[in-house]
Amino acid sequence: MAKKEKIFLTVLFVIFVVAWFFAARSLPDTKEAFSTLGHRWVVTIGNFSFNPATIIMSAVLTALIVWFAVSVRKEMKIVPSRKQSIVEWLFESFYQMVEDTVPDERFVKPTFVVATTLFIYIWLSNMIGSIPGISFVGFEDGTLKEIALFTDTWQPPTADLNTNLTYALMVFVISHAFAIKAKGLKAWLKSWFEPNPVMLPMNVIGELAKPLSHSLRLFGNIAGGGILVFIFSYLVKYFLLPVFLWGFFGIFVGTIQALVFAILAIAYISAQLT
Amino acid sequence: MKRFRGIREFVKLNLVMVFGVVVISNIFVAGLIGYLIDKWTFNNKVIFIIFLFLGVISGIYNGIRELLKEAEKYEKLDKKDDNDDDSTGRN
Repeated sequence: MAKKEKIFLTVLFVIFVVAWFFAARSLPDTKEAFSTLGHRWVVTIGNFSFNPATIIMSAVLTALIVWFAVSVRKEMKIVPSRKQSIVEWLFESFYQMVEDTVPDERFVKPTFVVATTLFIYIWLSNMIGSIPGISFVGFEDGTLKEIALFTDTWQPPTADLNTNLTYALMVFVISHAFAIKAKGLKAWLKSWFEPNPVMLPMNVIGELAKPLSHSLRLFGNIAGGGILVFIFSYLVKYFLLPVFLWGFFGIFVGTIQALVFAILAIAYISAQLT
Repeated sequence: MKRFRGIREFVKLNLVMVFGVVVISNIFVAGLIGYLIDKWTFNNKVIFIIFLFLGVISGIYNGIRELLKEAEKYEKLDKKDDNDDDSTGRN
């Protein structure tokens, strides 16, 4: 590093520390800061209650993905551009992975489509959990307290159990539909009584537990990570550490969990086919 | 499959969590089923406790089964990679 850059960085750091010192004094006290911890904004219409932040962010992410897909589709060439090679690499990796795991050739392509879609969406939604942005802070009873700017990250839809449970149930239904199609109804029914009929309750509980563990794993990692970052960031008065934590929980844990969710989807589908 | 080995090492980290998550979710589902059946029938918590025990057994059974399956899968894939390396002479 040149001497000039060193001086520049040092000056920047000193400015940061001074600004931080004044900003940290205006932070709310512990009781007030943690009073909104883990609470969400909930809107109830009739019997139907939902978290609008999840829906807004899901819609934005979906639009982003569709826009990206269309832009790649438009510029498709034999010699791929940078964007196209990323997409090709991703699809190729996933196709190979599905091909290795799914035993029945007929179901390779549908499984690939399901798993890759899940991966892309979940990865992107975990990723926005590492970028500071607009967050909706709610009270304990679900009413909106304030729309906070840049005090927390964007709210990832995967930090809401409803999103994850939807996908996990979808995988559950798909896996059994594929199993009925591949083995026939009789063989599928018989698979519940294996290795012997005494194990029926175990098999039923085990199958029903799959979507639960599938969704709770992702939810726990993302929502828990968010809460942990919030607490740690407050304890150090937002001094440097949040950047590292946002990166760790958003990018590192987010990528692993998205990958794990997609791989488990493949594994659950292929387990039903064998 | 050689170039996916990096990703696979990454995913193996998940094995740490598999057993615990499976056991807990099985107990939870069994408890829920037991609680609902109990509420709609005798309402004396006997069925609930029976189902909790079933959940524990099912959790351990399914957890071990899943672990064995995962371990076998990775072993097979790693072996396949090694064979590929030998046959092509690449590392």
